[in-house]
Amino acid sequence: MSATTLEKPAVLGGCWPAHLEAVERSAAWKRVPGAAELRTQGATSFRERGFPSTDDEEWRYTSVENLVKVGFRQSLEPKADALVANTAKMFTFGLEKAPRLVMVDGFFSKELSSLGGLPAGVIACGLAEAMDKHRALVEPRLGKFAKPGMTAFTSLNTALFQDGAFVHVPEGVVVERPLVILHLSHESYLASHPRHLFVLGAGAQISLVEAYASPSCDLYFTNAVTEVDLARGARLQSVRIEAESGNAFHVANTQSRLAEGSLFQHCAAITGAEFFRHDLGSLLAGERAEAQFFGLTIASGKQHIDHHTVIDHAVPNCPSREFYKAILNGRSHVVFNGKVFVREDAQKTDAKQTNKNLLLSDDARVDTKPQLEIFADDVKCTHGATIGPLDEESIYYCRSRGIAPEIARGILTYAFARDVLQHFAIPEVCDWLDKSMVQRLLDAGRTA
Amino acid sequence: MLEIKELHASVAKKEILKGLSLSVKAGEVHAIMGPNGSGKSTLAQVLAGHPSYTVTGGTVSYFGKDLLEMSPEDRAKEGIFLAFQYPVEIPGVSNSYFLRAGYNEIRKHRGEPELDVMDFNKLLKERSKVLHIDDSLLNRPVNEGFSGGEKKRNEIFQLAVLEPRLAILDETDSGLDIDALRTVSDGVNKLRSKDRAFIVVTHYQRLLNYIVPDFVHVLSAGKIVKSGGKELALELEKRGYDWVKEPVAAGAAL
Repeated sequence: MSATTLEKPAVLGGCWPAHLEAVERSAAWKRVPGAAELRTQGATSFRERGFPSTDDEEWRYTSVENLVKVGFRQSLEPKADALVANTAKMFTFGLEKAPRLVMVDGFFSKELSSLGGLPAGVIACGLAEAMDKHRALVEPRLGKFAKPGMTAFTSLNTALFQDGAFVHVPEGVVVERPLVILHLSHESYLASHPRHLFVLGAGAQISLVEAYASPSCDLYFTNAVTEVDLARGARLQSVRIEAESGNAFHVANTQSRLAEGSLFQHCAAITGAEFFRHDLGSLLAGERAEAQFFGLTIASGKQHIDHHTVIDHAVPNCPSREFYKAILNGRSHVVFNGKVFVREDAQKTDAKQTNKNLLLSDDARVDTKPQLEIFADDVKCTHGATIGPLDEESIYYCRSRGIAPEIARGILTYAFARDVLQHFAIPEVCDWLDKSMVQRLLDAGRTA
Repeated sequence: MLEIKELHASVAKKEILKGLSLSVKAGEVHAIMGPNGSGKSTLAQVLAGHPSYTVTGGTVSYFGKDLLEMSPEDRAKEGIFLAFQYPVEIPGVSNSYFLRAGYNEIRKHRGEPELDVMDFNKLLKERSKVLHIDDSLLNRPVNEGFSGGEKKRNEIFQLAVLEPRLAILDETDSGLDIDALRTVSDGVNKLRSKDRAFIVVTHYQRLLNYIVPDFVHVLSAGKIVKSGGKELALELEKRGYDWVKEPVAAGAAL
């Protein structure tokens, strides 16, 4: 640590020291054996470094100032009522009959979850329960991929988390039906820190929907951390859905380790939240492991949506693909930062990164930054980024077929989104996203 | 059907068409030939209404109406179709969705009921059979990843579905191998009728072996310098463009 960083006082935010103290005194701190040390690391790291400023290269385009100002409350006990039960039913994402793991304000809810029908041996439960009952699976992994001090928010999550989702698919088990993991935010001004761990044994397969939702327009803060461990040949396909309140803050960190021949596909559909920041990383640790990141963002109003991705090619012969698209209305601000590391040993890496942004408003702003750091010499790495309005030639092409310009703009905006949505896993969820999120873009031309 | 008189048009402030006149009647096929840069594609785009081209003089009357006053979509609804030299790719929207949107706009304009997905798909299947076009093309995104030949075939397929009264083919033969050229030409020939006129813009005579025109016009420096029957194309093939360019251009300068 340099002298200059020491001189600067850490920005801790008004409410956070109190949250840390409260949780340190609570039963939760000790409830989970083995976690106390991890929590201490998180708390210490946060107290030392505080929140990042825009001087920090990783946060250059994303100011946390507004978030830090809010005096959030914390919840040390789970709460659930009939209203929440009804709310939970609203969010099915096209998978009405799929098994569901539901959390409310950071706590796993057994009552709202329905986990029947999973193949024998598959574990899907709250993380707190798993830390107690499945220690051997949890302890060697928790905090190992998203390390306690990785970001200020990960530090906070590590110190403050109460619960989350735990999924384990044992070796060779293929789960045919997708599993929905739903985090509901129900109370205003509450900060919750859901913590998830997904572990797949060799050759295991599952599709997950990881969704964050609220039926309200409340201001609250979700600070989620997800860790993924894929053994040899495992396949995890996940769709992340952000249907948070329009006034919510959502910060997330997803870190994954991919063993030989495994696949991690992460598809993110983002519409909700006033402030969104996601750090998504994959360590390609075994040959022929493959990471595929897809993202569709539809931003409007004053929304701030930031995707930071890291794909770390540590070994040879791994492909990776990133394809992120954003549609911006109003005064929204979208950030994309995609790092690809190709280590010295990682020959025959095949990495492709694409980021395309459609500006439907003159007041919207995009900051996009591909970052390729390549230390091997026999690799194929491409990246490309575009920012701009709809293509006039395409509008004219539609018009020459009899389509009015406002309808043409709608079709082209819709097409822009479909182009990435068609890569998303889980057909039912794609249809749902198409109907609930994307089809309304057909009207975009009429309002623009 | 179409009466072009003394048409002047420019793009990016550069005058390309410099007093072009042409008359097209229903059922006729007119070939527009000429060297690169003579204004062939400009003529095609001006007739379709490309917003980047500015008409600076002359008139274009289409069925008695002032064509230049009409928006590109209104021209399409009135039965003008341009097969693009470089068809635009629209990833994310299927060919059939795209075509149905245009088709129904045209139907609405004619006061006919719109077709639903089922009926429209039936129509697409029929037309694709007639033109020997692989119907897997229909569900693929518009022109995305199509080969040059597939793109041109897709333009002719759109023509067959939208049933225009005046079809303009802008260098439809460019980039086609002989088989693709034959398929495209066969398609066009099937679509010839006494009510429909074609303006075929091409650099090479080759296409006109398959689509036999009633008239051939040679365009040079923005105006028609020679007109004749189909035999004119053969003569151009033999002698190049230079022999027509010089004398008439000199005469026109007076």
